[in-house]
Amino acid sequence: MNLDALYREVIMAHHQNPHGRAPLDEVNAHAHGYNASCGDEFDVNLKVEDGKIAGIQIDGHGCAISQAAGSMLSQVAVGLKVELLEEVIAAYREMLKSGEPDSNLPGDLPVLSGVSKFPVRIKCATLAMTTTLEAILNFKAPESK
Amino acid sequence: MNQALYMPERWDSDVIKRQFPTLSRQFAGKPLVYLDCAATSLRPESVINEGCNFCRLHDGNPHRGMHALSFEATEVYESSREAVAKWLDAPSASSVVITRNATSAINLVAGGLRGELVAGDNIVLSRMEHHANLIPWQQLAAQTGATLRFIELSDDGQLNVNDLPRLIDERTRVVAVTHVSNVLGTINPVRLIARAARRVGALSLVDSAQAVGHMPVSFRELEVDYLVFSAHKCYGPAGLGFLIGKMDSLERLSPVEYGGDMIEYVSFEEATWAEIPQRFEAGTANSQAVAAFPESIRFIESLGTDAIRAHEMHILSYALEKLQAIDGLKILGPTSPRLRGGLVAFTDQYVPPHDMSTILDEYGVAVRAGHHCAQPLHRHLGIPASTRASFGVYTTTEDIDALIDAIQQARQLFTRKY
Repeated sequence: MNLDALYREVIMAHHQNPHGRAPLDEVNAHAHGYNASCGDEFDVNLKVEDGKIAGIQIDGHGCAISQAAGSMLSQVAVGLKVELLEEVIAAYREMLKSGEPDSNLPGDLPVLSGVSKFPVRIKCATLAMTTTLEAILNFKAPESK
Repeated sequence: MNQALYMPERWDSDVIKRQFPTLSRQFAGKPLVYLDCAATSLRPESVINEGCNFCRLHDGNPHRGMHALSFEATEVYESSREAVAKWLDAPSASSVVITRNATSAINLVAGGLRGELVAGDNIVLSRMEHHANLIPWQQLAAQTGATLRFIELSDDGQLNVNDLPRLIDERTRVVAVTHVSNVLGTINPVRLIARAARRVGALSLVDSAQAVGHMPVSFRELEVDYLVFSAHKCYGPAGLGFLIGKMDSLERLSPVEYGGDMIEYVSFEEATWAEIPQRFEAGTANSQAVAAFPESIRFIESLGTDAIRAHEMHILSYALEKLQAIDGLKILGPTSPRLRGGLVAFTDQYVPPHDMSTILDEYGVAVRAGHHCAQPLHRHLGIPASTRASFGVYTTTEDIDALIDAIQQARQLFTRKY
């Protein structure tokens, strides 16, 4: 059954005990992400220092897939150059399109390749990533709002 | 709870199911369990055939030609209007406006009233409205300077009608509420609300999208100024809806769409409007859908709306009992089936709605997950989303058993320690 490919143990472990929730001591970029079709929601806070992700907080609520993806991303982002994080996210999105696990992706992210069998859930699996990209954009060009 | 109380005397589920071609499909190696009727109901074979038949043989453009096909198409189109008028107790065929869906019908009314409201006026809605009966009024308020007021909910998801005298005052111009909530299931006291509106000279609108085809509905008895519904939620084709109005209430609406067939005399500089209902029907309609809809009415009436309501209450009470027995699962809305339409939305302590829907789908059970086009209501209830099972004439207690089994599977997956 396809469900086994979707709800892998690693994913469920992230869902039950998500990482990356702790507030940062300093924040220099923020973004809010919302999936209007299901109500999943994320707040991403970034601390960027010398072009690198020095800290990330990915806090939100929603389905197991969205929350696991956010948790996994928070684990791999810290220490990466901003450009490299952008590349990781691009490769991750590519993996969800192709369905082939990308073993070059850091941490637990390759496990989410099974989501590709559930096209309606791809938005869930990418919300944390698109919100993080928006936070990066806000860092590069601070929110004028 | 005495389930037999709600069981209609003669109800042959096998015969009914066989009329819906979609139900012959297999998912997960089992016949489809379709519990998403509130999003769109399935279409019986006869309705599908009637739409195809129109395309094959009568495919002219209604009201736009002197040739035989156009004449036939006009007859089909107008007889469909008459069938709706007769079915739902409208004052006349002319008081039935053919629209794209319930949403466009509400937009037609809200947009049509833009000249009637001024700053300081108010529009009364409820906390349980679908976006379709909220956003058009938000826009009208923004354009006119009117304010929005909301009828609050009781703890079990009923409208707080004791608040009506405070909310509806001499500056109220419109009161618009849903007939049956698409999330809470609540059946609202529409006539009482319509009377409260009329007492201060305000117009009233009811969104009957979740009521028509599921229970007896009479425009006359509801005493509202406007009633809207969509064909695709009552065993009819998509892309078709209706606005029924009292003639003098329809006269107060300015057209919101302009163009072909809604006019009388046109010069390069200006135009005059056609009579009602054509005034509100600019452009060529979905004539195939219009032609098919009388078959939906025939199908519904072959069972009878009283019997359909009894059947849905039977299914609903069975579902409520089974769902209530699951610890940690919370049902939204009133707990008595008598107060509800045939749908039940719930949240689960362990399984988020989107995951619930995916897992149920893998077991061949189609439900809806999300905010069901009612974001503010969900936020008001303090939940991001819910899972909804909704019922129709084809729903059986076996379908509910399949739902419960699949929920238990989802539970197992999510309560394990990882």
